Amino acid sequence: MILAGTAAFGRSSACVLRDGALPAIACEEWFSQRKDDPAIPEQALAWCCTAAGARLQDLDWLVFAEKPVQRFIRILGHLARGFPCTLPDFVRALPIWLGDRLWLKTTLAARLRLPPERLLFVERPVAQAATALFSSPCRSAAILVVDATSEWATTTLAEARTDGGRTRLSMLAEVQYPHALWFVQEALLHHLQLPEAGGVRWLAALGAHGDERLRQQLEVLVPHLADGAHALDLRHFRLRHGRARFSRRGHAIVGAPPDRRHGLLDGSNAPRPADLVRSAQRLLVDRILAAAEALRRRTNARQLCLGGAVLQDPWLAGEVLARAPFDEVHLAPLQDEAGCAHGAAAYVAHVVLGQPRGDFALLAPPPPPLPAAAAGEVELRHAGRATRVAAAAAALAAGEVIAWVESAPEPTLRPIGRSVLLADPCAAAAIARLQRVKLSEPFVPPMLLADQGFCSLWTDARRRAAALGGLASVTVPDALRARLGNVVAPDGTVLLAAARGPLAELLHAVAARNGGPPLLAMSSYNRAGEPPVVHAAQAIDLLRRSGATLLCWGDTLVSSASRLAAAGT
Amino acid sequence: MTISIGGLRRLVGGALWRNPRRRVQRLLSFARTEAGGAADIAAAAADADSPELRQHLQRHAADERRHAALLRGRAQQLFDVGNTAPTSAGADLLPSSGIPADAELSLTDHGFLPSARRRELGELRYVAMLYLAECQAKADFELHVLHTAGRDEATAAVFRSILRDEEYHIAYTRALLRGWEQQGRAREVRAALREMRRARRHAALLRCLGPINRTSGRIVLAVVYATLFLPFGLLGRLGRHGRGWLAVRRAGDDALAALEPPA
Repeated sequence: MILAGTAAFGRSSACVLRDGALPAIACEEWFSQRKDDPAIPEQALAWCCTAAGARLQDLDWLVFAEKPVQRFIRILGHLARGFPCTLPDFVRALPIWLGDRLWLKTTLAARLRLPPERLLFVERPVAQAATALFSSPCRSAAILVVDATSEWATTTLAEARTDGGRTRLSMLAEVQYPHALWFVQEALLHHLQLPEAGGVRWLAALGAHGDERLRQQLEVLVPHLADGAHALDLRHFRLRHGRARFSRRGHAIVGAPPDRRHGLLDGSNAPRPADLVRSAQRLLVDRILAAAEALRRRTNARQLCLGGAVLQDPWLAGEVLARAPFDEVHLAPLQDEAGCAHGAAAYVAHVVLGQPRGDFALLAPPPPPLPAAAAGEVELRHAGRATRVAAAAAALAAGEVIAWVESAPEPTLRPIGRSVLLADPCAAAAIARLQRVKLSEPFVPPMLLADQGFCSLWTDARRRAAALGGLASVTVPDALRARLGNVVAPDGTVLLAAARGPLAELLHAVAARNGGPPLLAMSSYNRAGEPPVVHAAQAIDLLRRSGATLLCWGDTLVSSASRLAAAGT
Repeated sequence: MTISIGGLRRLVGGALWRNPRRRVQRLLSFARTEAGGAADIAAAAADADSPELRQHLQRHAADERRHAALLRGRAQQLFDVGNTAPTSAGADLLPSSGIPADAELSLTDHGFLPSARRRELGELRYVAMLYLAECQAKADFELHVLHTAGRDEATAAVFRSILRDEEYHIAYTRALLRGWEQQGRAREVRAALREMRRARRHAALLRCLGPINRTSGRIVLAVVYATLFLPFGLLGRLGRHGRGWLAVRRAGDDALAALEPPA
C-alpha cells in the first residue's frame, strides 16, 4: 500500500509511505529554489514517488495535513471578533481563500491528476501527534503537540494506545487559537527583525548570549491558567494577516525594537535582545512543562512524545526533554510541514487502516550523477570511499572548508549530515571561513558533528536521541570547552548531530591527522536565506562562490586539478 | 507639446531616485529581481542540452547573483547612512539573499514569462526571451545611471558595473540566435522573437491592469465587509475566545471512517 502525505502553506513538503516505511520525504523549496516555498508540493511529491519506485497514479491515497474548511471558519471567526479593525485582513484573506484554498480538494485533484476519492484530509494537530508517535519507538504514550496555528488547536494533549497491533489515537484536550505559544516566538522574530526562515534556530543561538533576568517581566504575556493551561494576553499582541506582532502595550513590556544598524549582540540596545530571547524561552519552557504535567495527570502514561513547530528551538526542546515529568521522552525529528506530511500519511496508514508500522528512518537516494560538463573551471573525478575520505580529511586537517553531499538535502531545518559544509572545529580560521561562507548572523555558531559513541558521553539518556539528530542543544564538557571555543555558545552548549557511514570514517581520519577529538563543525550546504542545493550545477556554483576547496558529491570529488592529483584520484 | 513614454519614465524615475527611502526600496526590489533571475537561469543551465549554452547560462546566473549582492550591499549602505528603513518585504531582504517565499517570479522577476514554462519553451525561445529581457534591462539601467549620476555616484557606479554585464548578456544571446539563423532556423528565430515581444507586451498590460484590478477588488470587499459582514462582526464582538483546555469536538469524518485498505 502506498500513501503520500503533503502539507503546504508553510515550508511545503511531501512524503511517501510504502508498506509502513518512509522511503522519501522532500520539501518543495528544493525544486522551486524559493526559500520556504508555500506552494502545493507537486514537484516534491513527484520526486518522492520516483524515489519510492512508484508513479503518482500508483498512490492509494494522498493525505493532506489540514482541513481547509475548518481553517477558513477559524479565520472568519477571527475577522468577526476583531470587527471593524480586521478590514485589512478581510480584504487580503478573502481573495486567497475564495480563490483556491477553500477548494483545495478540487485544486489538488486537478493539479496532481488524481481522482478526488483518493484525496483525504487530516487536521494538522492530528498529523503532528501522529508524526510524534510514529517517529518514536513508543507503542502507547502521552502526546503533547505545541504547534503553529492552522485550524483551531494550538496546544494539544493526546494519548496513543496500541492493543493487538492496532493503534488508537485520542485527542484529549486543546488550547485553541489565538492562545498560541508560537505567537510569542513569531512576535519575537519580528521584534528582532530576524527572518522567519529558520528564525527559531536563530532565536536559540541568540538566547545563548543572554540570561533570564526579564523572565518575571514577560509573565504577563502568557498568563498561566488552571490545570497547566495557558492563554495569551491579547492586549500585548497584534494579530495581522495571520501573524503575531507585539502591540504598543506589548512593546512596553519587551522594549522598543533593537536598532539593527548595530548587531543584536551590541550593548547599545536595551533591554538586551539576548536577555529578552532567553527569558521568553524560559517562559515557554515553563508553560510547556505545565502542559506536560497536566497530560501526565490525565493519562498516567510513562512515555511522552513531543511534537510541533514551537519545539524547533533546540534549547527549548532540550530543556523540555530534560525536565518533562515522564520516564521516557521522545521528540519528533520532523516538526514543521515535513512532520505534518509524514504524520498525515502515518495516521491514515496505522491508525485508520491499522497497517503495521515499520522502523522510522529518514532515507534518501544518493545525489544525481555529476555530468562532466557541469564542472567548468574545476575538475571532477570518480573516487572510491577511502580516497574520498582521505582527500576530505587532508583538506580539513589543513584548515580548509569542504562540502560533503551524500544524498538529497535534509527535510529537517537543521542538517543531519546529508548535504553539509564541514570544517575543523578547533581551527579558528576555518570556522571564520565557514561563517563567511554561510553569511549568517555572527551569533549563530555551526553545529557539531560527532560519532555516536563520543557524543553519547556528553548527553543524558533523555536528550540523547534528540541530541544526536541535532534537535536539542547539549552542554559541552568543561575539558573540551576551551578547545572548541569557536563553535560553543556562551552558555556552553552546542547543537550535536551524529555522524553515520562515511562521515563517521571522515571524523576519525581527521582526528588521526591532527590529533584532536573526533568532531567536525558542520553547516548545511547553502547560504543563509538560500534554499538547499539540489542540482549538480548548483553545487558546483556554490563551491565556486563559497571558497570551499573540495566538494564530495556522492562518489565524485570536485576540486582543482592539482588537488585532485594530490589526492591520488 | 508632446510627451513621449520615454520622457514620462525619465520624469517619474528621476523623482523616485530623489527620495532616499524609495531609493533603498528600489535597490532592494532590483536585488530581488536579480536574485530571482539568477535562480531561474541557474535552473535553466542545469537543464540545458548544449554545453555552450550551459556555460553561458552559468556565467549569466553568476552575474545576476553578483548584481543582487551589489544592489543589496548598496541598499545596506544607504540604509546604514540614512536610517531610511525600507518597508514591507524589503526589510526581510537585508539579512538574506534568497528569493522571498511570496515572490512572483513570473512577472516581477526575470523576463516576462513564468520560469516554470522554461522547459516547454525550448532553448531557442528561452534564449529569445533572455535576449529581449536583457535589451530592456540595458535600457532601464542606462536610465537609472542617468538619474543617479551626479546625485548618488556610488549607486550610479553599481549600475554602470551591471550595465557592462548586460552588454555581455545581450552579446551572447544575440550570437546564439544568429548561430541558429545561420543553421537555417531563421524563420524559427524570427517567430520566437515575435512571440516573445507579444508575451512582453501582454505581461506589461497585465502589470498595468494588476493594480487597477486589485484596487477595485479591495473596494468591493471593503463594501462587503461594511455591509454583509457587519452583522456577523457585531455578533462576533460579543463572543469571547475559549481559554484553557477545551474538549476536542470533531464531527465524524465520513471519508476516513469509510476507508478500507485497497484489495
